Amino acid sequence: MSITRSLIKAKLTDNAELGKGYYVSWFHAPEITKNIHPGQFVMMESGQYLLRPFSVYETKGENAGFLYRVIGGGTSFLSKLKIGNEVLIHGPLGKGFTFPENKNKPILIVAGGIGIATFPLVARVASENKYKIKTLFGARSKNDLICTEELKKYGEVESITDDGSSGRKGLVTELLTTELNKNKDQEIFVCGPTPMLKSVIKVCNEFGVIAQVSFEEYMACGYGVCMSCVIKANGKYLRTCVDGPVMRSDIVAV
Amino acid sequence: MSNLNTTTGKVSLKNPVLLASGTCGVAGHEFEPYFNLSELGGIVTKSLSIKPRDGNPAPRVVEIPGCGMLNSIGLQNPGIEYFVKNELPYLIKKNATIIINIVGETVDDYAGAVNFIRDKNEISAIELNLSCPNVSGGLDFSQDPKKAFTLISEMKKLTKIPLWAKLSPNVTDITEIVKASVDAGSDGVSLINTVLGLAINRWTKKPALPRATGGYSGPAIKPIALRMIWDTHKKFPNIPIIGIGGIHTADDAIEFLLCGASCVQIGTANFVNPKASIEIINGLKDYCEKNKLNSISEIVGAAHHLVTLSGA
Repeated sequence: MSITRSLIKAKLTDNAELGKGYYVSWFHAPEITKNIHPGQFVMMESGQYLLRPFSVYETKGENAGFLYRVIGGGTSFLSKLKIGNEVLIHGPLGKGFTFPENKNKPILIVAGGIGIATFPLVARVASENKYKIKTLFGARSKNDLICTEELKKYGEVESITDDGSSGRKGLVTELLTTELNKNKDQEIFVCGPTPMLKSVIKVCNEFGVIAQVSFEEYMACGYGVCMSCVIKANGKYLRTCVDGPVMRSDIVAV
Repeated sequence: MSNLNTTTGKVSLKNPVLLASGTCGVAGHEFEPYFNLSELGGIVTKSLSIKPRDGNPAPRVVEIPGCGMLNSIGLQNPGIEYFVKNELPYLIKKNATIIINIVGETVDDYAGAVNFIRDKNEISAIELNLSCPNVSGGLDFSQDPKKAFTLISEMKKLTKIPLWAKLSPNVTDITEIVKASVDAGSDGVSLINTVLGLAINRWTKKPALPRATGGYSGPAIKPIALRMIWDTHKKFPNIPIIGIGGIHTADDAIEFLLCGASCVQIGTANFVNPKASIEIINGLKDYCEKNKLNSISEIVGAAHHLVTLSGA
């Protein structure tokens, strides 16, 4: 088994504020950009005791970008880093999304909230590999509909908000139901908060389709040794950091 | 012969740095990208029970900012039988110094598990987890000297492999339990397991962990561990002590050795840095060279020799 994984001190090259509390922090991390597979994540030092998991949002040359919303001490720390500041980055970690063998099978991205952060890289790589892509994005409000312009470069984007401040009012599962009624034969990639993941899996189960779902549970180590970040799948606890984060929807208990 | 070679009681170690149980997966496969297990003083396996255990539902950990973390894993493990068949051969192949950690709820549980490994020469020691705070009944053995004595004497009858008792800091006087353990035939004591703690989530207005309490580990517990090792070494200078508790750097490890531990285990530090143990080994090598030590064991317990030290 060969694992191309690094533990590096990476320098911040840019900290871009997207507005409304969302940031993209870019680090010079060739070890990550070279080896990242879409949907994988890294553990990053962020001024706290434990490192924090972040999915890779995009790569530009040797720079890896991480998109996040400032919600606590770790993300606040990252948002205040200055160019040239160094943090420890450990990765790439975990199992990412698997592109379908059949290149004619369209990829349907289903994102909830900050779960969108993993998809620009996924969509770009999928697009470079000639897959047809569509994104369904549910967020709390207009302000949380980030990255949509970027994702539109790779395919259609339909969004829905909890409060109706942009587009339809409702949940992303409504868009998914409509989409699956039209065409069940799509490779579905899902990422978002746990309650949204569970609702999406229920919809997939109703339609008899299997999705690839990126899970996030609170984790301490990110590489399998602490056994914290478990979810029940196939009747036992699997570690989302090494057995996932991307897992098949049909093995997960909802 | 390296100056890091050491012994803990009857157990010879390449160096005094081991991976602590519960912080290196089940059998340390996850460290392959970073170093060979044979470079370590040893690896202590995940606590293994007679039957597989599912463990507790997530969330299983919560960070205590600046101090460490609380865990409530609940001893998830594949069971001793599976381990012996599927994981022990891996550790043997990797030429690791193997310490098997065993846990149970009754003396019979422990005995059943020990019976699976009682005559395996490749195992350097068996560490009896007397003190996991995250399962019902788990703490009993390390909070009652009589129970600790009974358990360890029964295990001693089953095997010639050296036994280490991993003890809980959640007691009034650690030396009473240490004494009971050694009287029962324990060849060393592992000090300390996690400290019982609790965190509150202000937003949900509930405990952060589903079972409320968890085991506190990380930098904050280092002084607690040092104090317990100090008390133990002062009272029983000949009892081998395996030091555990918030060790992140070679400097931390040196403090444990000075206090009376003959080797140390690296636990939570592995979570924040997979190479922590190797960096500590390298730091100890430098320390020996700088201080012209023939053997790292020369400093074990030196902090108790106050007169010698102040005169040095």
